Amino acid sequence: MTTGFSAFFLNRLNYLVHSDLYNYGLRYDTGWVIPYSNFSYLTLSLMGLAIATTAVSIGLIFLGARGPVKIDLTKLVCSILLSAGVIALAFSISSTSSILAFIGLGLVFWGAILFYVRPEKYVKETMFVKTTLPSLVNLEQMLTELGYQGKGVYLPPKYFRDFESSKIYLSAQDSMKLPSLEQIRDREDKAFLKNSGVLITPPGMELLRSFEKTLGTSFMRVDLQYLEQNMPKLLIEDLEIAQKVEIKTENSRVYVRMESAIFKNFWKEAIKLSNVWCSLGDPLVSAIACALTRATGKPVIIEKNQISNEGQTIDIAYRILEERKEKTH
Amino acid sequence: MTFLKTRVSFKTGIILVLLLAGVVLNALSIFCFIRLDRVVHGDLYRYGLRFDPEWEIQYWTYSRFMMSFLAVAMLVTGISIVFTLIHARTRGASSRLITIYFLR
Repeated sequence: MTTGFSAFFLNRLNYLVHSDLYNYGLRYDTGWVIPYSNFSYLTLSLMGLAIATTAVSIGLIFLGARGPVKIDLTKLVCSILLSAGVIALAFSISSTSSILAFIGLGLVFWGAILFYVRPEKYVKETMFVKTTLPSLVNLEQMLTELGYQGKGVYLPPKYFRDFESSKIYLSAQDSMKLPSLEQIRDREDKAFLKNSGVLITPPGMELLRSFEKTLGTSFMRVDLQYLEQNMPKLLIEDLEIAQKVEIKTENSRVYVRMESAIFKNFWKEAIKLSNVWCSLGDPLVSAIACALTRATGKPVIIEKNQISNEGQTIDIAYRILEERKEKTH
Repeated sequence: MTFLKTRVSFKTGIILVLLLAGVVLNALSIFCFIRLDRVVHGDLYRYGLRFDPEWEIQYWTYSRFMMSFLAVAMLVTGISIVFTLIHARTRGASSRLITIYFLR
């Protein structure tokens, strides 16, 4: 970008020499025009090459960071329009052409419109409730029949070989005692742990991935303060699934209060599934629990999960558990 | 020094060569511009040009801006080379982001 600015100023200099200086007695002569033009074109070409090498480097760095590139047609068209518009505007300034300026403005305008008006797919809220609820009903039936008494403990990534996975441990007894790292790692891809409990994939696992994708970071790389600052914006502005979000941390407890019109009816139905509701939470509550356990690196439980204001407001209290130190031999 | 022993991949090697080429090209641009400046401040007076602060100030401003931007471009590309080397060693996302940020 800075080299581009230099090229712009060199153009202004050329304009000054080839127009204004004739008013100060300068005579046209090939004796000075040829060396001047040679150096001027050489400098401009070198700058162009420098810009090209930098652009290729940026492209290579981006390509190296991403996996297989998936082309989004809308994004592509929008970037082409915007860049063509900016180039046309730049040329219109250097060649003082009003036609180019109008073309540039038009292209930038449509590029910007396309950038903001992107096709999004929406589903009706009733469809969302009807498709999501049955899996929670199944989970509720399973937990009731197994008769597991323990509270669901969201386990941090260190418990798994695959750091991207996330699980909830549900003890068979009414206790918070967690199995050892080895016990869980050995049964990571299984549901039941020998004589101790069950490992469940959190209902909010996919929503958590969506959070991370939108924020452009993994929650394993951030801390609790980052969550406190960024979660409200993420849920309200970016994903538009809540109208109001308040997050407060007190010692080892994290209190979240949310207002969501989208989840209102879902919460009203989900609260009837007492085991799932109190122990695991619905997808949104569960996704936040997963985010907390990944950010703190400690196990997390849902201590309180309560709806009010005709289901529109939810108050959740998460507790971050301190782990017992394991003796090493 | 372990830093010097870092093995860089083929792609990182190309990126480093390109960035280095960017620094060299910017340096050559400065050199060519100095020669061009000599033509203006030396030869043009022999072809009737009269010194006048009116054009001189404008010329001086543009040329200083141009040189400063070229110097900044060289500096940030140099910093990017350092962070690319750091990224090659640590594979950290932050060093990659800093490299891209500087190059832009």
